[in-house]
Amino acid sequence: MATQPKVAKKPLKVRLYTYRWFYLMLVPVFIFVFFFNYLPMLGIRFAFYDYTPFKGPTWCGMDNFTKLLSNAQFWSAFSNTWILSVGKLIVNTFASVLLSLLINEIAGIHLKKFVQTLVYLPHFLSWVVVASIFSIILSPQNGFVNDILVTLGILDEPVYFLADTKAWRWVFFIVNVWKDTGWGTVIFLATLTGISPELYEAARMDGATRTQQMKYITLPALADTIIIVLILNLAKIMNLFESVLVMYNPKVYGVADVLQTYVYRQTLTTQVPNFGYSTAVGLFRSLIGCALVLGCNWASKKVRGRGII
Amino acid sequence: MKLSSKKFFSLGLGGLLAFSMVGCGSSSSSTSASPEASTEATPAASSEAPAESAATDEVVKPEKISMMVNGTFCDVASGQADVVNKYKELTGIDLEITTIDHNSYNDQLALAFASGDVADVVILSAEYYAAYATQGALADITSYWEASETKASGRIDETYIDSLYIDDTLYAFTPARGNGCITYLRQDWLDKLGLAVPTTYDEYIKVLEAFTTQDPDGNGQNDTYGVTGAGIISTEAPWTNYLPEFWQDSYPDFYEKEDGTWVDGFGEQATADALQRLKDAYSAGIIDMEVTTNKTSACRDKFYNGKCGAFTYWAGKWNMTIDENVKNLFPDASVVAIPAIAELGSYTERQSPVIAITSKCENPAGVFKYLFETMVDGGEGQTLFSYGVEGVQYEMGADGLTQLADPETKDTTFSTVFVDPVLMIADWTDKDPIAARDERISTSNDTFLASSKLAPVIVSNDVMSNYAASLKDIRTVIVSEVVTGDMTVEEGMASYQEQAGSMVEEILASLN
Repeated sequence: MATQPKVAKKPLKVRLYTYRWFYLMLVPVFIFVFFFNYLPMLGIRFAFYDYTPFKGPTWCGMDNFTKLLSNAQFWSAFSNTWILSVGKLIVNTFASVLLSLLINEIAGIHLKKFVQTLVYLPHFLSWVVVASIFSIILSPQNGFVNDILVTLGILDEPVYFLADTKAWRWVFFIVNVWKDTGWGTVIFLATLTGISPELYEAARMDGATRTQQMKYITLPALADTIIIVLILNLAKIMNLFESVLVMYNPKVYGVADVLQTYVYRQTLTTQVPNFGYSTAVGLFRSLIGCALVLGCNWASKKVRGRGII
Repeated sequence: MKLSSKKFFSLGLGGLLAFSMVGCGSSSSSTSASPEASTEATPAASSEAPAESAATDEVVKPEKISMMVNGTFCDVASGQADVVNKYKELTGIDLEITTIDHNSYNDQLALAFASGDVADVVILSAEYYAAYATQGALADITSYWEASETKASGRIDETYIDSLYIDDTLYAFTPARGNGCITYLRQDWLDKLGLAVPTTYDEYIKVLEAFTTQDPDGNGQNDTYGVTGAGIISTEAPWTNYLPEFWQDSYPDFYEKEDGTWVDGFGEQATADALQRLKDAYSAGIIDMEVTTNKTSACRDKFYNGKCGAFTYWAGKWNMTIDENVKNLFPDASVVAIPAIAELGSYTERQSPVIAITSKCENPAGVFKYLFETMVDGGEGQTLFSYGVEGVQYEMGADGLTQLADPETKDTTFSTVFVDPVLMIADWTDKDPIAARDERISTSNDTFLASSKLAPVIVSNDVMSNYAASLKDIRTVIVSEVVTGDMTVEEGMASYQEQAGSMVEEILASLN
């Protein structure tokens, strides 16, 4: 078989000139990314400095890391970050997939769209509003959740869910599912919509039940999307902050305090913040996040033969 | 698509992106005011030396003064621009105010110092004043105060200025007392239950129990409780604002004893006793169950809505505000501010928040003379910074000044531009221009003054700054866990020793 003749590439200058308007359009983007994403990374160096607002940065080597690694509060925050982030990721992803499958089964197009819109509306509420809503709903004084549970005899007396170390994490997961599951269905529904109906038709003709169709057609089609979503969300696993900040309180610091809220209190609620220490915690957090993404990508390549990087 | 369209489209998108980057460079302030404008204006800038020389002696009058303020300064919607314009009329100086959201003020202030872009004048609480002064962030104004006409006039209660000296140096000024919190009770509930205003701890507890169990609102439901508070221990000095009857003689922070030695009040028996009282009251249900998560706004709402019968909050003008809001829902209700119970002895007056000139200011002498002294000049300047502008925040009548409705809220009376006239430490040269002060404000203020003492002096050094955040966390968690029943008092104090012992030792060594 004759090989295709190689088409000579045009010289770089010619290509640049041919597509000059597109490159021009990209210039502001590159400038933006450079100044707001890459240049700030130079701030990482302050992790090795003592840096307060009033005295300029002074080199201290690894002192900040020594301090954080020997601080019990830091390790408590670190383990809480893992538990809450991984738990939230698994629960939210599972809930999003399940909800997507259910929405996908809705026959009427208008009803389907209505339900889809309804479920992802909570995503657009700010966490401050969501926390206020749930603090009223879960209030031990006249909150309707406690009222219902006490009336049904499930509880003997009201429970202060947001200040109960045993209940707080469950509340956190439930609130996150309520707020973000709908939004997570967007990408899964898009994947489901792309599955060829002929596959389902062929499966029905072969006598496959609905469950079998889901198991052998739907889920395998979703698998790649699930993995991509998981890997992308793993990168953000250490960034948990706002949802915890608005819902936690000193009573539940032991189970709720995460790295970002710990840094927030160390930096911004103290009279003389040490930005160097906060940067050290942030750098530690970023390294963990980066390692997670790379590790997951590697695992994905091993298991399914492909990753995203 | 035609080539010309592609060009236009790509250039247009590129320009839009570039324009959006320019928009990203806005200041961190929420709103600000400058002369002749009632909408947002430019970010803060340093005061400048005057083009024209309108100075007296060697003090040069600045052309512009920049000031960073929090929620204690009247905002744009309440007529801030009019205040700025009036100030310019009085002094010829442009006052550029940058208003920061009250809850994030301290964060933004720290970032402003770190970035070097800080205003000439900032507002600081007592804790932040001590810390910032020792870090060299504030200008030394000792000589300006000592040589000032204001000091020479004798109109100022110098006790409050003297309390601001740090190692014989003055770094800030205060035009007003710090004020403190006083306990308000529902008088109508007391009357209905046949109870008198409590004067001892036992009587206070009996009142709270009655509020909790005897249906004081008469609705047939068991839906009230004794007292609410925004946290068991406050987030700032003097720490025991909101439930003082339980804290009594405890001061849960470092303080200097009469013999000059510094001790950690949190580790003392008085604090252990206070925790036991709080724990007993919480388990009896007479303290709001949500006390550990309450914000002050939630507490106010609960008191206004008749959920509880006792609430400790700021003395003075808040008496009027609280009474008005309770009466809005319950026209027959009445609120009384009670003197300190015997075991408490006196309420705590916090160290005054201050206004300070930053070390970046180029003309601190001018700022002191033309801004600080104007605020306490006993005449027009003092009227401006307390009552506001005629026709906007007040009107003048035959008998004197009457405050108008707040331009922002419309249904409450405007209280103050910045310096609460009730707390003012400067006398008026003539007389207080107000025609008549609401009796509720005067009563509450007089009751508080009759039974209050100044909080212990707040100090700061590098060692304390290093451990401040961690210590605060440890104390807050232990207090929450002890009071709500997860720990006994003994376990709590032992845990405190274990977690904070070494930090406390280091801090005390640095202080003693």
